[in-house]
Amino acid sequence: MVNIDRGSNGRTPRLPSLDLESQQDFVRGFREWMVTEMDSQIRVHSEELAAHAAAPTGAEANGRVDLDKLRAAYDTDPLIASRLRVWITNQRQMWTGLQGQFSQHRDHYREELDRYDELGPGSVELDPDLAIPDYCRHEIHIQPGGYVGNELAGALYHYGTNSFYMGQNDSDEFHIMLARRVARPEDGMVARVVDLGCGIGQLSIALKEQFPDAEVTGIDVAGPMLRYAHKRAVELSLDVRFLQRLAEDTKLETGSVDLATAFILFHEVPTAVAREICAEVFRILRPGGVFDVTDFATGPMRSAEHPFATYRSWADHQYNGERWREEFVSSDFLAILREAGFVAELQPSKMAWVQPNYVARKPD
Amino acid sequence: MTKPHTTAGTDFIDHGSDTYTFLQDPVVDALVEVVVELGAETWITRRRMLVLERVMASKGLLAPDLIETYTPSPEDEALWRQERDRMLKSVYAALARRPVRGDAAAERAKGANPPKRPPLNATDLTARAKALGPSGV
Repeated sequence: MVNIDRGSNGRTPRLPSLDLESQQDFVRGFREWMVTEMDSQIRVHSEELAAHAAAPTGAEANGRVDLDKLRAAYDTDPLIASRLRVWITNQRQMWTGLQGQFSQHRDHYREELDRYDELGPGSVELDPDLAIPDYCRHEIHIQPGGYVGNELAGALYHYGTNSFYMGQNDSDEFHIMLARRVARPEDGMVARVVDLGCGIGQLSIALKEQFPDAEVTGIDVAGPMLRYAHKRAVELSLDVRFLQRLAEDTKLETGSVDLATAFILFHEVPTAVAREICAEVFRILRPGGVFDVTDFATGPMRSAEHPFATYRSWADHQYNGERWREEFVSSDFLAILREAGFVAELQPSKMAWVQPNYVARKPD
Repeated sequence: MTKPHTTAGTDFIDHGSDTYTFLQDPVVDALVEVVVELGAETWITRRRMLVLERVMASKGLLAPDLIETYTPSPEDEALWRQERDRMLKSVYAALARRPVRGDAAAERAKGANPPKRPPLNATDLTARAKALGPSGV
């Protein structure tokens, strides 16, 4: 077997070949160029097009130009079409490189996952009989096979999102920062933590580091992601329990949880399921328990959005496998939390990006 | 060889991202993909050379005139031909793909009875890796 151990960057093992590492480095560099250099021109250009599209009445009542009008102006514009083209090409290039190389060493990764499944600390509980809902079978971010349809999904997601994080999350820095700043119950008691839609468990792991005496559970629908999450937790000697379950049906005991988190989960589910998840979290939290959610801005919060950001959000939904993003950002998520019984409010973003932080408390 | 894990894969909905057409003609889309792929190939090669030169210099092995005057062996030629063909496949894959008019993504985004593909398993991935060649990029 080829030696693919090339050391590590922070907590992340280096990619298994120099060529793949260089290819991903190009992907990252191209992405940075695209969102800085290219977008500086696109922003000005798109404002001019939007002003023309909104004429003669100017901006719409909600402060944003209507998406249909934006699409009429943008869809056929050569510069914006080029921006979409190179963005999707960049995405596909990233996934193609990762999938090609990881699959070459499939036996190594399979054996590794099989071995770690049985190791501790912590555990991974998979459910081969779980009915996987259609809503989560999409190729999110056009990742090949999505999260549920590719046995190597965990590794692909980890290295792919390192490009999204522009190389700033090799040691889970973003997730550690989120865990440090997470909302806590007013009585300060955090004995049981549940991380919903945990994926490869980066936040679950960071929460265990933040609350070492607490029982931390990561829940996700995707078996391949959970197996990778467990492997990482074992490597870091952290006792985290990973369960393959639905966030809307955790099967956890009523009133048993002090703190629940959901990091960029809700824009991946239909609104009806979002309501079910909120009701389920309200059920499993104890009185005084807290639900800390980081996700996109929704409804009224989007009034000051730049027209190209509005269009890009739609394009992400349309072309990048973000099936439920538009439905989520069109909803009023604070209202959904309140309908579930929470006392909910917005807190300043914990992240360098502008995702808002929704903090929902179950009344005593 | 180990067997795929029972929970490792299920049917998924293929987003069809290789069929998107953003520009006035699918061939123009393909040309943009080619240009971006070429950029990646150029950087991969240049980065390897930077590593190589740094390693050789650190070992006292690098003499620039040796590189300029090197004559490849028949084995070198065969290996390099293989590597060149891998690069050609990778860079020009978009031109060899049959363009599809219309927008597959629009259908996927509607979500009405979308077609599903069986889970990707190691066999699919191996076939893809084989097509991509030794370095898999």
